Amino acid sequence: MNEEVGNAPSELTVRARIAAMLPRKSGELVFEAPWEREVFGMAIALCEKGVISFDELRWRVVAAISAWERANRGQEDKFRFYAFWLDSLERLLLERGVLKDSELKVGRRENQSD
Amino acid sequence: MSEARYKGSPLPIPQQYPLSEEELTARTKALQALLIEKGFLSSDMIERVVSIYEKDIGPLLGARVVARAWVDPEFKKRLLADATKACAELGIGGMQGEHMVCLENTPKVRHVVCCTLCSCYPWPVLGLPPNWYKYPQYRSRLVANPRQTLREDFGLSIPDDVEVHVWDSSAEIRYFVLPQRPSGTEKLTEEDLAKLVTRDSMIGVGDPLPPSSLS
Repeated sequence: MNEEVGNAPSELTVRARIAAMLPRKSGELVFEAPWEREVFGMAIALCEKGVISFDELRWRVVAAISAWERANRGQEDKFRFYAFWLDSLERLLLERGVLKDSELKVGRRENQSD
Repeated sequence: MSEARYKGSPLPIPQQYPLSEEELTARTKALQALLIEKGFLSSDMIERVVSIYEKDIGPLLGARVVARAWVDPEFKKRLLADATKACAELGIGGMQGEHMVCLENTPKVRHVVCCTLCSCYPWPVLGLPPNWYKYPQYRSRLVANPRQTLREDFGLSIPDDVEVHVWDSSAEIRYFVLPQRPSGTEKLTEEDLAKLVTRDSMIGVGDPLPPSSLS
Protein backbone atom coordinates (compact mmCIF):
# COMPACT_ATOMS: atom_id res chain seq x y z
CA MET A 1 0.00 0.00 0.00
CA ASN A 2 1.26 3.47 -0.56
CA GLU A 3 0.83 6.54 1.58
CA GLU A 4 -1.77 8.14 -0.66
CA VAL A 5 -4.52 5.64 -0.05
CA GLY A 6 -7.34 7.25 1.87
CA ASN A 7 -7.34 10.61 0.14
CA ALA A 8 -6.65 9.47 -3.39
CA PRO A 9 -8.43 11.71 -5.89
CA SER A 10 -10.92 10.04 -8.16
CA GLU A 11 -9.71 8.77 -11.51
CA LEU A 12 -11.67 11.44 -13.34
CA THR A 13 -10.21 14.24 -11.26
CA VAL A 14 -6.69 13.00 -11.81
CA ARG A 15 -7.30 12.75 -15.55
CA ALA A 16 -8.66 16.27 -15.72
CA ARG A 17 -5.66 17.59 -13.84
CA ILE A 18 -3.22 15.83 -16.08
CA ALA A 19 -5.05 16.94 -19.20
CA ALA A 20 -4.81 20.55 -18.09
CA MET A 21 -1.01 20.57 -17.88
CA LEU A 22 -0.17 19.17 -21.31
CA PRO A 23 1.05 21.24 -24.23
CA ARG A 24 -1.84 21.84 -26.62
CA LYS A 25 -2.40 23.74 -29.80
CA SER A 26 -5.98 24.85 -30.40
CA GLY A 27 -7.07 22.33 -27.82
CA GLU A 28 -5.23 19.40 -29.41
CA LEU A 29 -2.51 17.54 -27.60
CA VAL A 30 0.87 18.22 -29.15
CA PHE A 31 3.42 15.48 -29.59
CA GLU A 32 6.38 16.46 -31.71
CA ALA A 33 7.71 12.92 -32.16
CA PRO A 34 6.48 9.35 -31.66
CA TRP A 35 8.70 8.85 -28.59
CA GLU A 36 6.97 11.76 -26.84
CA ARG A 37 3.62 10.11 -27.28
CA GLU A 38 5.00 6.83 -25.91
CA VAL A 39 6.66 8.47 -22.92
CA PHE A 40 3.42 10.19 -22.02
CA GLY A 41 1.42 6.98 -22.47
CA MET A 42 3.81 4.94 -20.33
CA ALA A 43 3.86 7.48 -17.53
CA ILE A 44 0.11 7.82 -17.35
CA ALA A 45 -0.55 4.10 -17.67
CA LEU A 46 1.85 3.47 -14.76
CA CYS A 47 0.02 6.11 -12.71
CA GLU A 48 -3.35 4.61 -13.49
CA LYS A 49 -2.08 1.15 -12.48
CA GLY A 50 -0.78 2.56 -9.21
CA VAL A 51 2.87 1.68 -9.92
CA ILE A 52 3.76 5.34 -9.36
CA SER A 53 1.73 8.34 -8.31
CA PHE A 54 1.24 11.24 -10.65
CA ASP A 55 2.15 13.85 -8.04
CA GLU A 56 5.51 12.19 -7.50
CA LEU A 57 6.17 12.30 -11.19
CA ARG A 58 4.91 15.83 -11.61
CA TRP A 59 7.11 17.21 -8.87
CA ARG A 60 10.13 15.63 -10.48
CA VAL A 61 9.19 17.12 -13.85
CA VAL A 62 8.68 20.58 -12.34
CA ALA A 63 11.97 20.42 -10.43
CA ALA A 64 13.84 19.12 -13.47
CA ILE A 65 12.49 21.89 -15.72
CA SER A 66 13.49 24.54 -13.18
CA ALA A 67 16.98 23.07 -12.79
CA TRP A 68 17.42 22.82 -16.55
CA GLU A 69 16.34 26.39 -17.10
CA ARG A 70 18.76 27.69 -14.50
CA ALA A 71 21.58 25.79 -16.19
CA ASN A 72 20.58 26.58 -19.77
CA ARG A 73 19.70 30.25 -19.95
CA GLY A 74 19.23 31.42 -23.51
CA GLN A 75 18.79 27.85 -24.73
CA GLU A 76 15.01 27.85 -24.52
CA ASP A 77 14.68 26.62 -28.09
CA LYS A 78 16.22 23.32 -26.98
CA PHE A 79 13.52 22.79 -24.39
CA ARG A 80 11.79 19.44 -24.88
CA PHE A 81 8.93 19.02 -22.45
CA TYR A 82 8.70 15.24 -22.74
CA ALA A 83 12.45 14.76 -22.30
CA PHE A 84 11.85 15.84 -18.71
CA TRP A 85 9.04 13.34 -18.43
CA LEU A 86 11.24 10.54 -19.74
CA ASP A 87 14.10 11.36 -17.43
CA SER A 88 11.88 11.91 -14.39
CA LEU A 89 9.99 8.68 -15.07
CA GLU A 90 13.22 6.69 -15.32
CA ARG A 91 14.56 8.15 -12.11
CA LEU A 92 11.30 7.55 -10.26
CA LEU A 93 11.18 3.91 -11.38
CA LEU A 94 14.79 3.42 -10.29
CA GLU A 95 14.14 5.07 -6.94
CA ARG A 96 11.11 2.87 -6.45
CA GLY A 97 13.04 -0.25 -7.27
CA VAL A 98 10.72 -1.06 -10.17
CA LEU A 99 13.71 -1.11 -12.54
CA LYS A 100 17.43 -1.49 -12.08
CA ASP A 101 19.99 0.87 -13.54
CA SER A 102 21.80 -2.04 -15.18
CA GLU A 103 18.63 -3.15 -16.96
CA LEU A 104 18.05 0.32 -18.37
CA LYS A 105 21.63 0.61 -19.58
CA VAL A 106 21.50 -2.73 -21.38
CA GLY A 107 18.18 -1.79 -22.97
CA ARG A 108 19.48 1.54 -24.22
CA ARG A 109 22.52 -0.07 -25.80
CA GLU A 110 20.39 -2.65 -27.55
CA ASN A 111 17.99 -0.09 -28.90
CA GLN A 112 20.68 2.28 -30.04
CA SER A 113 22.46 -0.35 -32.14
CA ASP A 114 19.26 -1.21 -34.02
CA MET B 1 3.23 -2.34 -8.07
CA SER B 2 1.97 -0.85 -4.85
CA GLU B 3 4.31 -2.99 -2.76
CA ALA B 4 7.33 -1.38 -4.39
CA ARG B 5 8.95 0.58 -1.60
CA TYR B 6 10.61 3.93 -1.69
CA LYS B 7 14.30 3.15 -1.83
CA GLY B 8 15.84 6.28 -0.38
CA SER B 9 16.40 9.89 -1.27
CA PRO B 10 15.49 11.05 -4.77
CA LEU B 11 18.18 10.70 -7.41
CA PRO B 12 19.88 13.95 -8.42
CA ILE B 13 18.40 15.91 -11.30
CA PRO B 14 20.69 16.00 -14.32
CA GLN B 15 21.33 19.46 -15.73
CA GLN B 16 21.76 18.23 -19.27
CA TYR B 17 19.40 16.15 -21.29
CA PRO B 18 20.08 14.03 -24.31
CA LEU B 19 19.20 16.31 -27.14
CA SER B 20 19.40 13.99 -30.11
CA GLU B 21 16.19 12.42 -31.29
CA GLU B 22 18.02 9.11 -31.68
CA GLU B 23 18.99 9.00 -28.05
CA LEU B 24 15.56 10.02 -26.82
CA THR B 25 13.96 7.42 -29.06
CA ALA B 26 16.37 4.72 -27.90
CA ARG B 27 15.78 5.50 -24.25
CA THR B 28 12.04 5.48 -24.74
CA LYS B 29 12.12 2.14 -26.56
CA ALA B 30 14.37 0.62 -23.90
CA LEU B 31 12.12 1.74 -21.08
CA GLN B 32 9.01 0.56 -22.85
CA ALA B 33 10.49 -2.86 -23.65
CA LEU B 34 11.52 -3.35 -20.02
CA LEU B 35 8.14 -2.36 -18.61
CA ILE B 36 6.32 -4.64 -21.02
CA GLU B 37 8.73 -7.51 -20.35
CA LYS B 38 8.21 -7.13 -16.61
CA GLY B 39 4.46 -7.14 -17.05
CA PHE B 40 3.76 -3.60 -15.87
CA LEU B 41 2.40 -2.43 -19.21
CA SER B 42 1.25 -3.55 -22.62
CA SER B 43 1.34 -1.63 -25.91
CA ASP B 44 -2.47 -1.61 -25.93
CA MET B 45 -2.56 0.02 -22.52
CA ILE B 46 -0.24 2.81 -23.62
CA GLU B 47 -2.24 3.44 -26.77
CA ARG B 48 -5.55 3.46 -24.90
CA VAL B 49 -4.32 5.97 -22.33
CA VAL B 50 -2.93 8.35 -24.93
CA SER B 51 -6.12 8.28 -26.95
CA ILE B 52 -8.16 9.25 -23.89
CA TYR B 53 -6.05 12.37 -23.52
CA GLU B 54 -5.97 13.15 -27.21
CA LYS B 55 -9.73 13.13 -27.33
CA ASP B 56 -10.06 15.15 -24.15
CA ILE B 57 -10.16 18.64 -25.55
CA GLY B 58 -12.12 20.17 -22.72
CA PRO B 59 -11.43 23.65 -21.38
CA LEU B 60 -8.70 24.22 -18.86
CA LEU B 61 -9.76 23.59 -15.32
CA GLY B 62 -9.24 27.23 -14.40
CA ALA B 63 -11.96 28.18 -16.87
CA ARG B 64 -14.42 26.12 -14.84
CA VAL B 65 -13.39 27.97 -11.71
CA VAL B 66 -13.81 31.36 -13.34
CA ALA B 67 -17.18 30.48 -14.87
CA ARG B 68 -18.44 29.25 -11.51
CA ALA B 69 -17.31 32.51 -9.88
CA TRP B 70 -19.17 34.48 -12.55
CA VAL B 71 -22.47 32.71 -11.89
CA ASP B 72 -22.23 32.06 -8.17
CA PRO B 73 -21.46 35.12 -5.97
CA GLU B 74 -21.05 32.98 -2.86
CA PHE B 75 -18.47 30.82 -4.62
CA LYS B 76 -16.70 33.96 -5.80
CA LYS B 77 -16.43 35.19 -2.20
CA ARG B 78 -14.93 31.87 -1.14
CA LEU B 79 -12.59 31.89 -4.13
CA LEU B 80 -11.22 35.33 -3.33
CA ALA B 81 -10.90 34.43 0.35
CA ASP B 82 -9.11 31.12 -0.21
CA ALA B 83 -8.59 29.99 -3.80
CA THR B 84 -7.02 26.66 -2.91
CA LYS B 85 -10.03 25.69 -0.81
CA ALA B 86 -12.57 26.96 -3.34
CA CYS B 87 -10.88 25.08 -6.21
CA ALA B 88 -10.98 21.92 -4.13
CA GLU B 89 -14.77 22.27 -4.05
CA LEU B 90 -14.69 21.67 -7.81
CA GLY B 91 -12.36 18.72 -7.44
CA ILE B 92 -9.44 20.81 -8.64
CA GLY B 93 -6.52 20.37 -6.37
CA GLY B 94 -2.89 21.12 -6.00
CA MET B 95 -0.19 19.50 -4.04
CA GLN B 96 0.32 19.88 -0.32
CA GLY B 97 1.53 23.25 0.80
CA GLU B 98 0.59 24.96 -2.40
CA HIS B 99 -1.24 28.18 -1.87
CA MET B 100 -3.18 29.73 -4.73
CA VAL B 101 -4.51 33.26 -4.65
CA CYS B 102 -7.17 34.51 -7.03
CA LEU B 103 -7.04 38.21 -7.97
CA GLU B 104 -10.24 39.86 -9.13
CA ASN B 105 -10.17 42.28 -12.04
CA THR B 106 -12.55 45.21 -11.63
CA PRO B 107 -13.42 48.18 -13.86
CA LYS B 108 -10.72 50.13 -11.98
CA VAL B 109 -8.00 47.53 -11.37
CA ARG B 110 -6.37 44.90 -13.56
CA HIS B 111 -3.98 42.25 -12.36
CA VAL B 112 -1.12 40.61 -14.25
CA VAL B 113 0.92 37.70 -12.99
CA CYS B 114 4.54 36.85 -13.67
CA CYS B 115 7.20 34.67 -12.13
CA THR B 116 10.90 33.99 -12.30
CA LEU B 117 10.57 30.21 -12.32
CA CYS B 118 8.16 28.12 -14.29
CA SER B 119 7.34 26.11 -11.22
CA CYS B 120 5.72 29.12 -9.58
CA TYR B 121 2.62 28.85 -11.67
CA PRO B 122 -0.74 27.49 -10.64
CA TRP B 123 -0.42 24.30 -12.67
CA PRO B 124 -3.54 22.68 -11.27
CA VAL B 125 -5.62 25.58 -12.53
CA LEU B 126 -3.84 26.85 -15.61
CA GLY B 127 -1.97 23.86 -16.92
CA LEU B 128 1.51 24.12 -18.36
CA PRO B 129 2.90 27.64 -18.46
CA PRO B 130 3.28 29.06 -21.96
CA ASN B 131 6.87 29.50 -23.10
CA TRP B 132 6.85 33.28 -23.02
CA TYR B 133 5.76 33.22 -19.38
CA LYS B 134 9.04 31.60 -18.46
CA TYR B 135 11.31 34.02 -20.29
CA PRO B 136 13.15 36.43 -18.02
CA GLN B 137 12.42 39.21 -20.56
CA TYR B 138 8.69 38.88 -19.94
CA ARG B 139 9.05 39.34 -16.23
CA SER B 140 11.55 42.20 -16.35
CA ARG B 141 9.62 44.08 -19.04
CA LEU B 142 6.33 43.55 -17.28
CA VAL B 143 7.61 44.71 -13.91
CA ALA B 144 9.36 47.75 -15.38
CA ASN B 145 6.60 48.83 -17.72
CA PRO B 146 3.40 46.84 -17.49
CA ARG B 147 1.18 48.97 -19.74
CA GLN B 148 3.70 49.07 -22.55
CA THR B 149 4.37 45.31 -22.31
CA LEU B 150 0.69 44.49 -22.37
CA ARG B 151 0.13 46.77 -25.34
CA GLU B 152 3.17 45.78 -27.39
CA ASP B 153 3.49 42.09 -26.55
CA PHE B 154 -0.12 41.16 -26.06
CA GLY B 155 -2.12 43.80 -27.93
CA LEU B 156 -3.96 44.76 -24.78
CA SER B 157 -4.51 48.48 -24.23
CA ILE B 158 -5.36 49.43 -20.67
CA PRO B 159 -7.08 52.82 -20.26
CA ASP B 160 -5.13 55.33 -18.17
CA ASP B 161 -7.76 55.43 -15.46
CA VAL B 162 -7.41 51.70 -14.80
CA GLU B 163 -4.68 50.67 -12.39
CA VAL B 164 -2.41 47.78 -13.34
CA HIS B 165 -1.07 45.60 -10.54
CA VAL B 166 1.78 43.20 -11.29
CA TRP B 167 2.15 40.15 -9.07
CA ASP B 168 5.26 38.04 -8.84
CA SER B 169 4.42 34.45 -8.01
CA SER B 170 6.67 32.75 -5.53
CA ALA B 171 7.14 29.17 -4.45
CA GLU B 172 4.65 29.83 -1.66
CA ILE B 173 1.98 31.82 -3.45
CA ARG B 174 0.73 31.22 -6.97
CA TYR B 175 -1.59 33.82 -8.38
CA PHE B 176 -4.24 33.65 -11.03
CA VAL B 177 -6.65 36.27 -12.28
CA LEU B 178 -10.42 36.28 -12.16
CA PRO B 179 -11.19 38.29 -15.31
CA GLN B 180 -14.31 40.40 -15.64
CA ARG B 181 -17.29 38.66 -17.11
CA PRO B 182 -17.74 39.88 -20.70
CA SER B 183 -20.86 41.89 -21.43
CA GLY B 184 -23.64 40.22 -23.35
CA THR B 185 -23.17 36.92 -21.52
CA GLU B 186 -26.09 37.24 -19.07
CA LYS B 187 -28.00 34.37 -20.63
CA LEU B 188 -25.10 31.97 -21.11
CA THR B 189 -24.83 28.76 -19.14
CA GLU B 190 -21.88 28.15 -16.86
CA GLU B 191 -20.58 25.61 -19.35
CA ASP B 192 -20.62 28.10 -22.21
CA LEU B 193 -19.08 30.79 -20.03
CA ALA B 194 -16.15 28.48 -19.32
CA LYS B 195 -15.45 28.31 -23.05
CA LEU B 196 -14.87 32.06 -23.10
CA VAL B 197 -12.17 31.93 -20.44
CA THR B 198 -8.72 31.83 -21.96
CA ARG B 199 -5.47 30.94 -20.30
CA ASP B 200 -4.12 34.41 -21.04
CA SER B 201 -7.09 36.04 -19.35
CA MET B 202 -6.24 34.12 -16.17
CA ILE B 203 -2.60 35.26 -16.34
CA GLY B 204 -3.88 38.76 -16.89
CA VAL B 205 -2.38 39.43 -20.31
CA GLY B 206 -5.63 39.00 -22.20
CA ASP B 207 -9.39 39.33 -21.99
CA PRO B 208 -11.95 36.52 -22.12
CA LEU B 209 -13.38 35.82 -25.56
CA PRO B 210 -16.54 37.65 -26.61
CA PRO B 211 -19.80 35.65 -26.56
CA SER B 212 -19.88 35.84 -30.38
CA SER B 213 -16.94 33.39 -30.43
CA LEU B 214 -19.27 30.58 -29.33
CA SER B 215 -21.32 30.50 -32.51
